Amino acid sequence: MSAALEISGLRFTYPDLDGARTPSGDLQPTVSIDELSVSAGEIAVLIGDNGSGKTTLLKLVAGLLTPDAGRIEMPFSQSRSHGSHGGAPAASSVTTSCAARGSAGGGLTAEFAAGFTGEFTDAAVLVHQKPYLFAENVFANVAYPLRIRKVARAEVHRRTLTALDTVGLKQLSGRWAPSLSGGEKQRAAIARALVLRPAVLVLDEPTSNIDYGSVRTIEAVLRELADSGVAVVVSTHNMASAYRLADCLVPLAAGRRQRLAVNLLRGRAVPSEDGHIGVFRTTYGPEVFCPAGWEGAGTAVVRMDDIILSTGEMVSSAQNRFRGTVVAVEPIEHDLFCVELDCGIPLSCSLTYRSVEELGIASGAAIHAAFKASAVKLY
Amino acid sequence: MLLPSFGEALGLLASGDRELLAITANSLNFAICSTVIAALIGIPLGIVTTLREFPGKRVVISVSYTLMGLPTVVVGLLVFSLLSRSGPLGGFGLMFSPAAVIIGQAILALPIVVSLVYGGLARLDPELYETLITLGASRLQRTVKIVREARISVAAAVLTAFGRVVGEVGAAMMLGGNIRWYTRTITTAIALETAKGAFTLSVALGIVLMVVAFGVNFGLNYLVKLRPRGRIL
Repeated sequence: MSAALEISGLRFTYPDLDGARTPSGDLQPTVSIDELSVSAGEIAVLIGDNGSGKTTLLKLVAGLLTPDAGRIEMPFSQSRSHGSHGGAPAASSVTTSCAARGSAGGGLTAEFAAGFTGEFTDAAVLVHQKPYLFAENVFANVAYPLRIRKVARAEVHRRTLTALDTVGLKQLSGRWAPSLSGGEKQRAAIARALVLRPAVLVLDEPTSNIDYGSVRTIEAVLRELADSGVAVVVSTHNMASAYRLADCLVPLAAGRRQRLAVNLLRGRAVPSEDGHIGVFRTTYGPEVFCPAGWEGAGTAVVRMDDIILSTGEMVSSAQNRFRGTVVAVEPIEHDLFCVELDCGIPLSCSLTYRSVEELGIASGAAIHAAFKASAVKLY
Repeated sequence: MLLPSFGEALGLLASGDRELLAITANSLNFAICSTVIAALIGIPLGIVTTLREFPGKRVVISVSYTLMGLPTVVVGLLVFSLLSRSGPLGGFGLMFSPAAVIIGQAILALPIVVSLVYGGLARLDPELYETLITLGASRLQRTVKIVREARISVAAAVLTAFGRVVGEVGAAMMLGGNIRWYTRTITTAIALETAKGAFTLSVALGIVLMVVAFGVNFGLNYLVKLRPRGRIL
């Protein structure tokens, strides 16, 4: 699927920030992203601690901040590019592939899905963590971006109701917006962004400070939007929500992309025959044993550190045993390597230099991988 | 002394005394005109002060807040020195006219409007501004929306300014001269009538002034009370 958002060589430093400095005395950029690409129909989730640069990156994408250098391009709409590829030399370049998924249409209303077909009218719209809703009713809030663009009244009415229907707030269109609950406010703010038919929808912590039911509702709305072709970029502290949502998980620390430390598997948890252990059917085909009692979960997460490799078949308590080949071996940091495997499902694991040497791991080598069912976390 | 006059004052009010009505009309006219002028200048100034960064912004804000308590006689003195025959604007012949009173009262009201509009806008959620940008609002559309969001604070600023000028006596006395049927206001009339020992008219005018003051306060409370639901304006 084609990229709806492409970021390259992005550098940004807050002008009034008295932060860390490079050896040459320049301020360390608050955000320094060498490469990030989000396809149409894909959800990219930014994760990281407070101050890791998530919100700053979102504001850069939404055009609220101007980069010092680099490019932010949204090919489906207007293109924004800033500065050059100058600035600080590239740090470790992490280019995690983001597997796109989902089909166009999804569960959205046909009219809404049709509205997105090749007709993105705005580049990127940001929905804040605590969205500000104007002191008027929900309909007027959602209609505002169209009204200031002098869109015809009938069209405003149609698109506003469609957007409200999409987020499940049509019944509350006459409600005084500031009186909505936290989750309803988030959904109203998403609808307000949607009426602009943005190519990229940017959300800053959309599930913070709201109840679990509202979190799942918002996740469902975002998934449906992505399925209709919108590229969604979300930041969150809620790891469960991140795992459920992410087609592409982007860990950030100090404004830089970090390597992902987990394997994210999509599929469906189903009851096992004996009931003592769970089974997770991955979208790739192979099944993964997991803890029982999580039927219906759609995401399985396995930490890279929890996978053990051997050159021969292992006899151990690990219920998940796969035979595969090594696809790539890349240094991570210090003495650690990331080994990418093809075992019918793509798996990544981390090994020390010593293990790589002892096992003679290299691209193309046959390998056995194992991990415990209890190491599989379901979301 | 006041109690017997109170009954007579009520009688005066009930009878619709012509002079009492004229004085009341003068007071309200002057206060409304000066408040409108202060609002026309002060609301945009408050908006600019809030939304724009410029050198000396903190000083302007501090001065504006300080001038909220400007003594009315100081304003009277200042405008007197400008409008009197020997003053730089003496040629306009505005001294002891309604215009002079309105100018003085507008100067009194202006810092109140600027400061309270600034305070109201500054208290708005900072995310409102970013929200408007991300939704694609132009600079003018942003300004209009921000003022609309702070409409209750803006209305409260104007009401507070009106309350201040309708009850002031210094500027009205010094600049209007308390001329009967012309520049006499409720406050200057009360001062004069009390000095003369004629309490009936003073008390009647005092009652009118209190009704106006209560009206303004009621209006302010109404605005504040309804704020969470925002059902007005």
